[in-house]
Amino acid sequence: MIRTVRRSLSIAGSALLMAAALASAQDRGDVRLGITYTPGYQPGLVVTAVGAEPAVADAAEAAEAILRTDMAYADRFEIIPAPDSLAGSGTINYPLWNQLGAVWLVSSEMTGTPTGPVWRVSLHDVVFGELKQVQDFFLPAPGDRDFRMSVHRVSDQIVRWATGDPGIAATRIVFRRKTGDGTSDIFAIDYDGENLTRLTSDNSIVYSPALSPDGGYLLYVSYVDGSPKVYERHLGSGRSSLVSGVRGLNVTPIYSPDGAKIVLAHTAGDHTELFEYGRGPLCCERRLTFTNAGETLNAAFSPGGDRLAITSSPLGNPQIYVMPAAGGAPQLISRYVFGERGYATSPDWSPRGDRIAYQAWVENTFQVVTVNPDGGDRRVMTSSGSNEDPSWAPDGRHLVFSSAGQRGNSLLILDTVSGQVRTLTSGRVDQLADWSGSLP
Amino acid sequence: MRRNASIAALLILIGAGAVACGGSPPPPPPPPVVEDTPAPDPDSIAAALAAEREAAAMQLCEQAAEAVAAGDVNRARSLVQEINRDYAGTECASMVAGITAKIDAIVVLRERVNFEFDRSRITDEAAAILQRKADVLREHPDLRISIEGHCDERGSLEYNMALGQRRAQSTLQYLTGLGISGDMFTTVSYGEERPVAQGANEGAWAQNRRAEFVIGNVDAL
Repeated sequence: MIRTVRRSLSIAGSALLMAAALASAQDRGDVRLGITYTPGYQPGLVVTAVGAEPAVADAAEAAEAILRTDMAYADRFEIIPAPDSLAGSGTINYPLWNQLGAVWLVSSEMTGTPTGPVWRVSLHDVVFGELKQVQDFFLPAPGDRDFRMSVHRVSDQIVRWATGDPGIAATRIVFRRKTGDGTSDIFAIDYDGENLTRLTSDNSIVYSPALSPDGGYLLYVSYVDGSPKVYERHLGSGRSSLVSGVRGLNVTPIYSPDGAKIVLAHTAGDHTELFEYGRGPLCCERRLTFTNAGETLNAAFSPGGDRLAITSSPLGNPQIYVMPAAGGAPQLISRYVFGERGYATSPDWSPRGDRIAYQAWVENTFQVVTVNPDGGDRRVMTSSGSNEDPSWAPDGRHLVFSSAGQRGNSLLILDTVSGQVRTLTSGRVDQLADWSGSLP
Repeated sequence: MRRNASIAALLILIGAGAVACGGSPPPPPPPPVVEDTPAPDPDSIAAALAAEREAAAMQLCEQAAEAVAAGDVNRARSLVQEINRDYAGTECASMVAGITAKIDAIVVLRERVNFEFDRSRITDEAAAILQRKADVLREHPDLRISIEGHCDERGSLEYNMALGQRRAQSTLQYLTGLGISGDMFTTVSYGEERPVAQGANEGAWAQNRRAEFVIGNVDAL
């Protein structure tokens, strides 16, 4: 009981600090240049060396390296280095770790066999000097193609133990990469930049990749047949099937959060509108929008699946609107800001539900902006180069987006809370990234 | 599938055209069968030379027709120039007017129209270009044209796909408004995928905001 109280006090304290930091950023009125990130409170976390039997030393070494990176990339902890003198898996000296600034401590031992390592992972609350959680994880052999993802799932479990929030480690990001003069293909990469995989080889133009919630299917647009059509690919077998091929344009397909529906945009008369389909088997086209005077495309589901954020241009320039997922009147949420040309596209709804990210034209270039679903509390998240097509991680605080600037093209990952930026890919023209949910 | 069929038909027609045009030059007159005269007959030498010239010219005509069929306007034009310069009076030279008319029609049909930033409206300049196209299209109702909509690099990738499609559609609508059958056209958007001008300046952007016209069956001219 006491423990809960003290914990919530410290959380309340940090929330206050953060609120104060945000308020001061807004007071300066410089939101158009990007919010000023003030480093908030990050609890200290230490990962001690993995204790291992000789037979599983390789697995221990590989797992520890991945775990350490995951803890850093979570952007939720101040990583405390573990002095060699404190290595080993003996009794945890809580007061000493406390003095070194650790709030959390991860200790673990690897047992089992080389082909079936078993990883016992413990999370300790250093402040209260006690074991908070412990669990055995069964890993594949280190050479197995699922080894990294298995360790990432452990990392996400640790983040959930410590914060109550989902992690981002067991995820992939799909995107389109320019592969030649006028050609592109869909690629996938682990969130930490490992395991780059080419998913299509159409030798054509591709667009709008989107992963199914279970990660097993890919929706995308390809000109492989001469004009832009929407296909679905079963990633296990590599088989593609046509989803939408009306005359004209078929673009921006997405899955509903439960995976039961597909929403995409295609030509209707002389312009583009949104349509919904049942999935598995594909059926029952239903028109969702009636823009008539402009283009509507680029839908993103709210996490509950009941609303859509969309790009629509009934007034000439594209703007972001929110509408009921079953159809209904769209409400404008990308407000016109004095001095900016009204041009906002490519919304993505945070899996937490509280923010919508999109790209907006700010001072002659594109920047990533986030707003509340009602359009309030607009914040420009990026400030240099051209930054487009944001997509949220499952934790609702990290965004991946494509960036072009003096340092060339890249996919960047931004922690919208701490302002930390990390390069996911660089040196190639990578665009239209879509961040998967937590992969099972 | 339809497209493949029309390409096949086009190839057959090109083949047929080549045979009709260049495959049967007038046969040279048979050599005189006078065995006793060793001195060559000056008339028959002149006739042979003329026939040779006719054949050479006809070969150029054939190449020009092939260039037209392949849509290679520049090559067709330079062949026409060569025919006019070197082969006046030949049968081929009398065919040049027809070839030139086709070249001119292709040039008119292919002329790009440009758009304002983030707009699909047909400007006055574009309207004049489309008017000229309509005149050609009216004469050749069997032509099939693909209208491609393109954008400059400044919009968002996906929205520009829609804008490119709208540009193609608005071009199509302007032409049908002039009385041209919509059946003659297909539309496709390339968004910002295929710029014709490189560079991050208004000059390049203005060129890239465009509709292009790809003739599917030049033989219908």
